[in-house]
Amino acid sequence: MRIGLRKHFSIIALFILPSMLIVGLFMVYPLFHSIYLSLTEFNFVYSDKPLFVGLGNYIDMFSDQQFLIATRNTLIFAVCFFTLLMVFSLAIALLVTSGLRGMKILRTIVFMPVIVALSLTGVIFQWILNERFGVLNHVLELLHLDFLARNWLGDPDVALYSLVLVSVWRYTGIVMILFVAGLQAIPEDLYEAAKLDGANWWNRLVYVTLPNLKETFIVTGVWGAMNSIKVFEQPFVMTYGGPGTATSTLYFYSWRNSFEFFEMGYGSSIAYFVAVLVLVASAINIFVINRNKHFA
Amino acid sequence: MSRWILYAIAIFTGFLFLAPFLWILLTSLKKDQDIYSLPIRILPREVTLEQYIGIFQGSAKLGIYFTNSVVVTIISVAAIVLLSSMSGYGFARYRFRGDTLFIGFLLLVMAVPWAVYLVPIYIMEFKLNILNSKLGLILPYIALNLPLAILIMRGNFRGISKEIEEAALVDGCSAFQTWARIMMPMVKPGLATVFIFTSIQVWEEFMFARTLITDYLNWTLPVGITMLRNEAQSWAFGTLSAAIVLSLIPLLVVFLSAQPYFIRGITEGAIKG
Amino acid sequence: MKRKFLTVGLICALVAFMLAGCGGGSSGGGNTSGQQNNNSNNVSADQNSGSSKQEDIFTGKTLVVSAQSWIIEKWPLQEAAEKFMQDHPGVKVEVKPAPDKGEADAYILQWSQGTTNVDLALGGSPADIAPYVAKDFLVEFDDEFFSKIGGKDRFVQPLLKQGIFKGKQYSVPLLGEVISLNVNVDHMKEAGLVDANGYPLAPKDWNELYDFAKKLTKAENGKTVRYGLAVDWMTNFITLNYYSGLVGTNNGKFLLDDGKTIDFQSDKARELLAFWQRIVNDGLTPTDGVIDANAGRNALKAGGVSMLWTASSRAQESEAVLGEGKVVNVPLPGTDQYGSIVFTHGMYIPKFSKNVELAKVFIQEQLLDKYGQQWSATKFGKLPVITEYYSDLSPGIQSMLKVMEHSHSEPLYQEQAKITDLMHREISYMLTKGQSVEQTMENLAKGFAEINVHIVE
Repeated sequence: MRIGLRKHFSIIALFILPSMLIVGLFMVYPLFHSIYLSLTEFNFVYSDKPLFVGLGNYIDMFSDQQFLIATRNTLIFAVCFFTLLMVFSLAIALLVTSGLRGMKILRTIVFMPVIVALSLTGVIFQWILNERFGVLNHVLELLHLDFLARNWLGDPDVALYSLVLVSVWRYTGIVMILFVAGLQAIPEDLYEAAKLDGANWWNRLVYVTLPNLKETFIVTGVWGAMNSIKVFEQPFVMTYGGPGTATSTLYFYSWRNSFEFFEMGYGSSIAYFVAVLVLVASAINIFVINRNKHFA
Repeated sequence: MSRWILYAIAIFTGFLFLAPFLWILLTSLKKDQDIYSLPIRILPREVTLEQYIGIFQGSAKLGIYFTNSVVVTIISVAAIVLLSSMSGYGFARYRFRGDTLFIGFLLLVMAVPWAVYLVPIYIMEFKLNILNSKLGLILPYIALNLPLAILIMRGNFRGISKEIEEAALVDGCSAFQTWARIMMPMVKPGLATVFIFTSIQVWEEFMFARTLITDYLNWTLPVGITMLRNEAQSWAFGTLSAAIVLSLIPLLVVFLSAQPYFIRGITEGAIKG
Repeated sequence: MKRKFLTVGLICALVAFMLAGCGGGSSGGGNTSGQQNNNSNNVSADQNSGSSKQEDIFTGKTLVVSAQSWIIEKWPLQEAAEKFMQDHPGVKVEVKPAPDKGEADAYILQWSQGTTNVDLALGGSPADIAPYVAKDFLVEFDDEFFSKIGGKDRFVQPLLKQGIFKGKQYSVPLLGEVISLNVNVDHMKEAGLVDANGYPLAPKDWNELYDFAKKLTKAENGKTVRYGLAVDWMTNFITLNYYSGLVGTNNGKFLLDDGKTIDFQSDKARELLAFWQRIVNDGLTPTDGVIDANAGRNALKAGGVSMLWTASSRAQESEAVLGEGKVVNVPLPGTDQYGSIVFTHGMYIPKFSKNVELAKVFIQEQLLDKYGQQWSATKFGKLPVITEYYSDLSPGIQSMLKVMEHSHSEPLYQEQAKITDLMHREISYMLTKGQSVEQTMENLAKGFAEINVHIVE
């Protein structure tokens, strides 16, 4: 049996190989090349060769007004979006699994936005949120809620939050489904036991439901962190970073530097800063969830 | 009493999520004048199919873009699901030197904004002569989406107790059989999760498609529809809405019919006795 | 049972959709793909007797023309391609859409690898083309090229000049545009702002323009239903509109004496910026033009704005909706005397193309031909690049020719994208965040100095 196990394990090594090959071969050159670029100053059009500057870009970033603004925007977006996304998705998931009639329909409807490409979602909402021709303001007027009507994408104080709401509309469906799956995995008897102990709705939620969703929180958390911080399509399609710089996110700013200003070096360094943010956020997410391990 | 409140919330939520779709549908049935009229009209004054006709007569080749997207997505997703379930299993069970390093590499690939890889990948594909081809999109898509997929599957496999595996080995199953017959059915939720995430990411991917495909006949759907917007430049929403509706119909059909399997897939195996 | 039905249904829907796409492709796309179409052209051409069927050195070649999508709509490109194929049997012309500048460059990556899959590129302002020249990707249009079409003098000079880089002609303009006011005639009449002939008056200075805007703005129940004036403040026009505001009121100058620094601090600059801020603060002008490149033209066509400060072509574009003669061009203050700002969209040929001569012939025979140039002018207000073509066109367009003849081009900066970004940002702050004019001027001057610009020769 020992021998069988060893043979088993060495074959498993083969299982890993194809993936390692594809990701390795394809990504090693791009990854190292882009890290190298981030350490250089290189204008794709006007520089003859990349000029090595070490950590120069990374240092310059922090005295670049645009970069700081983009960082602030990204963090605001990330916090708002992530929170709203998790809360709504979980709330709707709870609603959908509560046994009310017609919940399958609600589940389907909430998931539908997911099949629309993010860039197309941006185009659609650009139209709906248009100050003059957009239907949202029109409907608010009809409902005598004029005071709520805004220049959703043109008002610098509001624009970023409009992007958050659009993103929530788009992504809630996926996270909801994951929560639904997680919720359905929780055995009924746990709830029964809690009820017998006199726990009310809120207590059941906090002490039974949440701890048992640990796995789901990890997956949704990491994925959510990625999509909260690596934000590109929404500002690109809907506002092009405007008005002014109100919706300029780090990823967007990085892209502009690389592909609009042709500053490949600087653009790459901003991108790696984003990567660090994502990794940190994911790490925090996993750490926080694992700390509550003892509940499970 | 509280039931009614829940129902009200449910209906309101449903409406919020559905409304944009309805609006696009309505817009696609209006004449340009109706769409851009001030004050805004919600219902069309006169229902017309001219927006749809405009698409078929124009140079937009929605059908071709759609097909391209379908092919690229199906192949990429299939490859990713397969490869990630294999590697996920491998990583879950097999410890080797440098595996943490490789996992770190995966995390980095995942965390970095993908725009950064655009130029190096472009140059690479140019040298390998796979630029402007479906393969030229599929390979990067696999490489970019595998990391998260592997991590998800690895997590799933680790959740299965070792006894089951060892029991299978005792019964004389080979490694492959163990994996295929015993382990895989137990990780359906993981597979379904990977399937959803990957399908969405690949289907809607814009940046790489736009850069790596240089001939418009090879464009994928997101790129093609954006071109429609640019073509008309102004008063484009009629055509755009029709294009979006058209591109959503097949997806809706797939989605609605596949949904039951899908939800079952996610929840099956997750329910423990 | 239901499940099977659904599955079959979905497969049918998918297949139908894909087939529809392919069908739509060959019927709608015409010469852009099908081989059959081209062969039938060959057959009919052969059966025609007497047409100019010289022994064609281009037989068997395919010319790939890549054009920004809007050009394919606003210029009879497909027609030109078909006519060319008829004139040159055995030659194929493929028209392909290319992405607009807004979504990152279409050609630079490709050309930097030393290859190209397009022979002729259409669309791009001088600033867009400058990078290609900087990397030496383009073919020069020499005197021989121009002699075949009757010489450089036939061109509207300010437009042709836009294709000169480093003293050589690297691009030939396909069409021109000039910055002016596009005004709704009926609105002007209603407000009494027309002359004895019923033609809209031209404002002489900012105060007059302000008055016009005020008279034209209409409000109902406290809500503005019609704005008097709108300005395209989005990145595609912010620099041009700014220059045009200075040119007319500052004796034709918008740069400092060094020829490369933009004037951000003179009194005239202050007046312009203050004017912009005032019309917004006083509710005469909407701010959606700051982030929506199409807000202005959409509103103009829908009757939501009376005057639009942007490229002159919007007038003709709106005529298609509102009726002929209902929207006309009126010069911005001072521009009838000092000229305005022109810009062009160019045609350029990459060096790596194997069909350079064929591309040139296509330009000479079709793209610079009267038919296409006039078609585009009449329908979409895109101004012809050859002077004599104007004589058949409407008075409105002819008046633009006058403005163009002593108009100016925007300077060609290497760092154009950053400059545009700077101006768009600071002016956005001024218009939507209440940043003072003084602060804006200071930020602009400072930001500009920090960019340390280089003029592309």
